[in-house]
Amino acid sequence: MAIGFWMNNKNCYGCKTCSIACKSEKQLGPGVLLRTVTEIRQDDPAAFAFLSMACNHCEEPACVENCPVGAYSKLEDGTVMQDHTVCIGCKTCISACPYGAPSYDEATSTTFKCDGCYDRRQRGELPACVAACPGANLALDEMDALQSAHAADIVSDENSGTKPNFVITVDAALTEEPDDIAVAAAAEKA
Amino acid sequence: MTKNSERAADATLTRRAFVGAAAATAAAAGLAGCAPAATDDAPADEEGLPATGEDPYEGAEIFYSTCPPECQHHNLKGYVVDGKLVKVESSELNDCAACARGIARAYMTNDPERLTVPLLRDGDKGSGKFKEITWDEAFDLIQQKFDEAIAADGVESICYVTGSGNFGAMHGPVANAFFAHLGGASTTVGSLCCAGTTASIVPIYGQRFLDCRNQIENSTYCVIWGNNPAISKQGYFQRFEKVVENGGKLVVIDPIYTESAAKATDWIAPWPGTDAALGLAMLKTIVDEKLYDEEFLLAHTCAPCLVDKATGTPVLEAEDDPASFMVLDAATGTVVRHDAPNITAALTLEGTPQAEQYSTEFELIYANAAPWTAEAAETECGVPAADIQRIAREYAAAEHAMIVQNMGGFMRTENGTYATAIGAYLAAFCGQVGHIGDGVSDAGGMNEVKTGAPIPVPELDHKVPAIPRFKFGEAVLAQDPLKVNVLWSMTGSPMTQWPNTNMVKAALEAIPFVVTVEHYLTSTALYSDLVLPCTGMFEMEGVLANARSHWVQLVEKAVDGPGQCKSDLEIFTELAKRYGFGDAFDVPMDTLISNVIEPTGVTLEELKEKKAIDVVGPDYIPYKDGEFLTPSKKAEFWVAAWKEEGFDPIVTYARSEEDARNDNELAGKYPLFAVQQKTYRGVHSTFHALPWMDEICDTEPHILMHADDAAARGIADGDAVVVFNDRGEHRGIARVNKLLKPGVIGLQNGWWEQQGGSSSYVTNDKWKTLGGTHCCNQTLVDVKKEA
Repeated sequence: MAIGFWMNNKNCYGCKTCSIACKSEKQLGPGVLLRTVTEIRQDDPAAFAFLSMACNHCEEPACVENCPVGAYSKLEDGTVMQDHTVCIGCKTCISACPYGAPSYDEATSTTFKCDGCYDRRQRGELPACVAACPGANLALDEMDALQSAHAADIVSDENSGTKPNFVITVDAALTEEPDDIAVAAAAEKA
Repeated sequence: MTKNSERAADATLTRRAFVGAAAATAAAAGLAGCAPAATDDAPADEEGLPATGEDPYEGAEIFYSTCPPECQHHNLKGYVVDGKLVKVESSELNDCAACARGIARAYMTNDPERLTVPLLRDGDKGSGKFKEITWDEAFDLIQQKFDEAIAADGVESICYVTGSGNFGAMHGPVANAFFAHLGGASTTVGSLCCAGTTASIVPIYGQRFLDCRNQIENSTYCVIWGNNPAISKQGYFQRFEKVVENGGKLVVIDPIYTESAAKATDWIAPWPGTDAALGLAMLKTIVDEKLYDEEFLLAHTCAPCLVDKATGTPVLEAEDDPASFMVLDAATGTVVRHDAPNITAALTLEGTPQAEQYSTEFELIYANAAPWTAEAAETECGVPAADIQRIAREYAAAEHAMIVQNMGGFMRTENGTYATAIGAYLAAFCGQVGHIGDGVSDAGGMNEVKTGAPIPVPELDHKVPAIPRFKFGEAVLAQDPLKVNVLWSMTGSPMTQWPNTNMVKAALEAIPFVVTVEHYLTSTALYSDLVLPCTGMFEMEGVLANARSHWVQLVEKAVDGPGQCKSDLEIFTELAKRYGFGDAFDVPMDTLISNVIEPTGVTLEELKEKKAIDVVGPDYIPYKDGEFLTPSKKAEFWVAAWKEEGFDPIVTYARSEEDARNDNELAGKYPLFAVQQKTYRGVHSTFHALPWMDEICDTEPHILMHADDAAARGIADGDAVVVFNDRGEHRGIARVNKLLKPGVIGLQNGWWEQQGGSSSYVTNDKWKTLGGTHCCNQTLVDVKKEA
């Protein structure tokens, strides 16, 4: 089994409600964001697009492989889960993750990461970001289901070595792939 | 990351795993409407996991409220655990989801930056130096200053101003009642947002704030004129995207390639302030090519109504009957009432004996449109003639065409009233109003539903002069039309939102006693003598039943506000008691709410049970079947109020005073047009200083510049720059690209003093244009690199 996110880069208009809904649901402290929205501006052809990305719940997650205290595990349904109680805040996962998904909390000196709202899903609820998106441009489901349900163009970069589970419906005007741009933007910020 | 240079133009063939293309219809199920439904199948429990499905919000007390600034008024659901508001979500009662700002209401309630006690200025205005005082001291001081003001210069020397930060019934309407009871304090005149709509849609269609949001998805051709609904209608922007998905067109008219333009099929970029000329050229094409809907024009508009050439006014059968317009019956050659049975009204009088004495409104409109050939409009508006003609033809021919005005920036210009009115003309000429999927979309509204005042507002026996809001500084300094001894500012922030900030600042510095009622130490609070901490959403009770929303919403109190903050109602009630009219204010909340909702037909009991009630309905169509709300029940193109103001009573266009193409000193000195942009950070200045917004949005003002204009000034992307003109300066970071019209720069609206200051420091404060439009988007500037 492999769950993953689908994101509609073609229709997303950049309101960032997903980021705040996640932060609110998870009661995250200052500076901690588990879902980020990258703005993509392109002159020719003109494009102004957005990519919302959280943890890609990779098939071969770098966080699981590199965490020195074994805080990360890959669950049967594919969720990459962090046991926050054992996190020592060493940030190894942050530097290992090609997508910058884990987020460090200065206040507690620990790192948080998206679990696809595993608890909410256990109760039959949608992840907070998916439920909050005004444009219904996010979904979490089995990868097979996502790929057949959405007019999706790409699965995020298998060359990252982690085999991410992220299906993106791409704005056709973009000349570069939006997740590449997002990863580059995140790297620049870091 | 590896870049894929081989990416195909259709964005499907990549080195990556190609996803089996699914039918678009399969995706549609998940895309429709608002939040998708939860799945029925919960994953199976996995033993020993750190997560167990436990709900941290289980057992939380639930409260309902609303997000009440000048926006879509989404219903909000608050979760209280152990006496603390821990989470706010978009409530299930909405027809589209609330945004990040609404969700941030929980943060706001617990924000350590909130004001908690009354603050008295203890340094120069603007210094940020205050000392804490008690409410008793604050009320005593207010009473003393009110008394002194009244004794010296009369009650009108107390001026109160409300903004658009809270459209709830227990705020502005309570202030109106209080200051009327006090004997008639003065206020300001001049609408920052939508004077153009009020001055055009009200006389032409009869009433405004009747919106078409529930018809958007039925539209096949949507013209988004000078506004950016991806931000300002973000809850239901997906409805506009649906128009394109359904095979229709989305035309965005905006000098900036906005979030909305990026999703459109067409981007038309006129020079700021030239929209009326653009619209007149469209109308000329439509008339020249007989693309108008003659049946609709004759049945539902005053196009054939006669205007006397000698007096320049419409011909009425009876002077005391404003609906008694006359037309020429082409069949009999006689002049008859427009609504006489079995007539064939003539649109033009050419070749008839009546032509010497009369014109029809149709003829007057065409005469004003005639100079605006597509070529002339290309020169004036900077839009290719072929594009103007194409969108005119497509709009007229579309099955269901809508013009979305949404109180947009295009009307905040010198010709803004005419620019708004030409949209009303176009829709009526083409029969694109009053039906499924068409109309002229205002921001709104439930304006066909009447509401009441929470506290009756006594009628004054005299008229109190109003101060022009855009020239507030000049008026205060000149004490014309009156002397202001006390200013009471609430639910708004003049220091960020009013034009020409330096003059607003001068006024606040000159007024002896400025009171600001606020959640935070805003830009305006910084320049105040007394700052009163007020309650926010989920911290007080009330009701929201306003023309901006379709819902009557109960405002529930979930928790106490921080510290000693009080609601506007509590503050006014205490003052009312001191002035001997406390009985009018000190009434139970249930009574106040009932007073507001009684005319709507919704009962208090029903509202308490349901929390929010849609009083408009999902299938609402404004001016249904072409029945307008004017006296004649027809679209009345000739506007008496415009003539009374000294302007042409029919839409026309003349180049504005502040235009970079003018051959004058101003245009020579400041060659760039500056327009204001809304951002996802806030609604006007509300939410703007929240740390949560810093985490997801630009953290300082950005100045959007075209690469050509930046290069000419040696400015690169990311440079610190200063935007300036004779009014002032606005600082920010240059964002350089080609996603806007060269010669135009974009300024972000809403930044506080503490964040670098408002873009309003440079904006045009012209008063008075036709209709009294705010001219912030008719502003010339230049930009230089920060020294």
